[in-house]
Amino acid sequence: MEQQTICLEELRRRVARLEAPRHAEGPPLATGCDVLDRMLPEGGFRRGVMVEWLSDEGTGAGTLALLAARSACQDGRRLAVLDPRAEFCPTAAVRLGIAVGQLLVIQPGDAADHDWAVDQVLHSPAVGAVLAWSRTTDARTLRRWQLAAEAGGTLGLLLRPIVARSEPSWADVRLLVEPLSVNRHWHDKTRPLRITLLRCRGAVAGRSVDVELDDETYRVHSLEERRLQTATG
Amino acid sequence: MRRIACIHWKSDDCRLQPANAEQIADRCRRFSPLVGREATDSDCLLLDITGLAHLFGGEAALVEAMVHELAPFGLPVRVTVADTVGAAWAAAAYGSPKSEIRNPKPENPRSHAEYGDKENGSPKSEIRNPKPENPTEQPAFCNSHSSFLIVPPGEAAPLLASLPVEALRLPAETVRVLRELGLRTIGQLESLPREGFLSRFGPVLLRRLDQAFGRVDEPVRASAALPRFAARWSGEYSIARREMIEGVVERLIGRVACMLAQCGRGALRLECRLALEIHNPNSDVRNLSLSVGLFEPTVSAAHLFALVQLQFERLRIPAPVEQIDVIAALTAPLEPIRQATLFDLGQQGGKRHGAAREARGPHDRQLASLVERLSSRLGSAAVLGVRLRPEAQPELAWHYDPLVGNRRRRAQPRAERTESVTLPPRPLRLLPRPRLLDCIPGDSPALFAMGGTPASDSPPLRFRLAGREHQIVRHWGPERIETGWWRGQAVGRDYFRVETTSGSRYWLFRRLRDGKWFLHGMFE
Repeated sequence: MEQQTICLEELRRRVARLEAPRHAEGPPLATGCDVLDRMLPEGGFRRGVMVEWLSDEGTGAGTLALLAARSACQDGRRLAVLDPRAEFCPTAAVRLGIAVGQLLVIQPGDAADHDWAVDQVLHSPAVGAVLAWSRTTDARTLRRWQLAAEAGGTLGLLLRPIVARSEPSWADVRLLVEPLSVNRHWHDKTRPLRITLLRCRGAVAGRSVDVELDDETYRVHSLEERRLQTATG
Repeated sequence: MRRIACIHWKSDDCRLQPANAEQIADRCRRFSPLVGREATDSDCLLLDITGLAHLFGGEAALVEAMVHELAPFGLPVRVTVADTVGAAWAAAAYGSPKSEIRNPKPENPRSHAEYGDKENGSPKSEIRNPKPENPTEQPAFCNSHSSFLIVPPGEAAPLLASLPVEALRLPAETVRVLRELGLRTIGQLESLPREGFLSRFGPVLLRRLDQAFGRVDEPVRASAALPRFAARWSGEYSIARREMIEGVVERLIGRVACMLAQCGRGALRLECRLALEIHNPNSDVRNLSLSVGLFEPTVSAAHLFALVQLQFERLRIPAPVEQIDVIAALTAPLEPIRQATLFDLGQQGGKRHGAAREARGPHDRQLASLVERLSSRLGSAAVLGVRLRPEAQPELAWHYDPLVGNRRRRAQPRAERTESVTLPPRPLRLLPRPRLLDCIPGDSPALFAMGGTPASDSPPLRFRLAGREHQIVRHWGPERIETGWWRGQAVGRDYFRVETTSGSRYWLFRRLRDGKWFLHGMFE
């Protein structure tokens, strides 16, 4: 009986050690969204992690990912964008505050080249962040990317459709971005979003924050704080 | 008076294998700036030496220098000098030493024709060739000898007259007909009235005659010089094993890297060309080529070979390889470096390459390595840098530049920063070609009247996209863009940002010309 208790204690310690955030190099990177920073155990993303953004088309996850990429590239490193469909609009990234000279756009021809290129850019310390629209569902490839990001100290930002939620993933952080339906004035250009933390080491899964994203100024505010301000003001 | 030199050799000579016309042409450029090939004969070179002979001590000395220059190739050549391309070629290919010798000593410049033989590099004044029975079929020079012939200015006509009609570079069919008519020498042709030639043989016969006798000018068509930094392997036996081919490529890259290092230049684009065995029944492919672009100039053979290998892995070589060329097609000066020690250049410049890279930031070095690796596998057109353009049309507002093999990128300042506030808001995903929208009729103008926009100009209430129906609940706009008229492709669009019931935001526009709606982007 006593031996069983010792064994359970040992297992608990091991699980806690695995759950704890890994040693981070340097300060955490701001996500560009204060309320999301507060939700993350380290106050932002660490370098060398893969962050998966699950969302539907046109719902703002790409802009949120670019805000995080801007933080990761502030030291002059490159932002690598994997753009196999040639749909990435550099004007939007530059307007968001990423220097045009920092953009490295890669247009691979097929899926194999795409996966290889993501692995290569994640491995390179010259790249601050990698933005990719993932087409793959292969868990092994995702694992390779995660290890590459860790080796290169690169922030991997993976945009995936919501249907990939049920698929296995090796991402260190998984975030679900969904539009919120709230009553707004017709000329209000901001968009209300709910960001749900599906997975993150050292954090409780399932927590969510409601934010509003301005597509023109790229500012993200907490919807709760805005409501409080409106109520008190 | 023009003076043309012709160097002629026999390509069926086995000793000619390691040599080729390009290499010979390259060696001969020291004698004349105008070195060209004869279109009808691949076994000769033409040099325009007008006004150049005195620089070498006279035509005889110049010809002797040419023979000396080509001695390392180990092939017997015949060098002739005459007033025209036609005469020089005719004398080289068909001239016989039997009758024209007046004075074998090259010292006398006024001789009718000067002849000499050369064996093992030592000039001789005697004629080694036996007197041929039939000058039209006898080779002009013996395999074991190099020989030369200088036809003094204005004295080509008697020589030409004695040569066979083949010496006019005529089509085989024309030669056959001439022989059937009993016309064997150029002199016989010249003695006949010209009028009949045109109708019977077309313009080619008269043109060739006039070119040979100098009545019509025929310039030497200069052939492109070999790239300065190039190495070639050409084997007597073809190689099929991939490891052997890679070994040869590695060795050639090492040689090219050495050449580059000696000149203080680095490769920005390296090409590797494989010539496959011609008589291979399994394949129609004759040539394969690989091209490696570099982010910054390099002379590191190991690095260049690693990039070539990335492409080699995916290359199918269907037939044995008989010739390999490695060419640094684009080069640039190496970045100035601070040399740590006197002899830190290292073998094949590898350390120099490293030092040049170390001298800059560690990220630059890693970035260069990454870009080169990506470009080697994906192609240079797939790894791109961005340049913004002051263009109102959204899809033309930037330009992609390949990051490797690009001199322009190097010339541009790296700290190119655009004020983000001056840019208009654009969606993160912009379709390269706007997609015609499948609008669903039954719009509700009342909804759009709220936005203050006339209902007729407002976006459609519903549209279908990828099989799904979307209903627009909010919209902002229009942003009118009218541009492109100076390109001849006028563009007039009213852009709207729209939000659907699912919360997705799209960028639509109405084409002013016909009122059709298009989807152009997604605000991801």
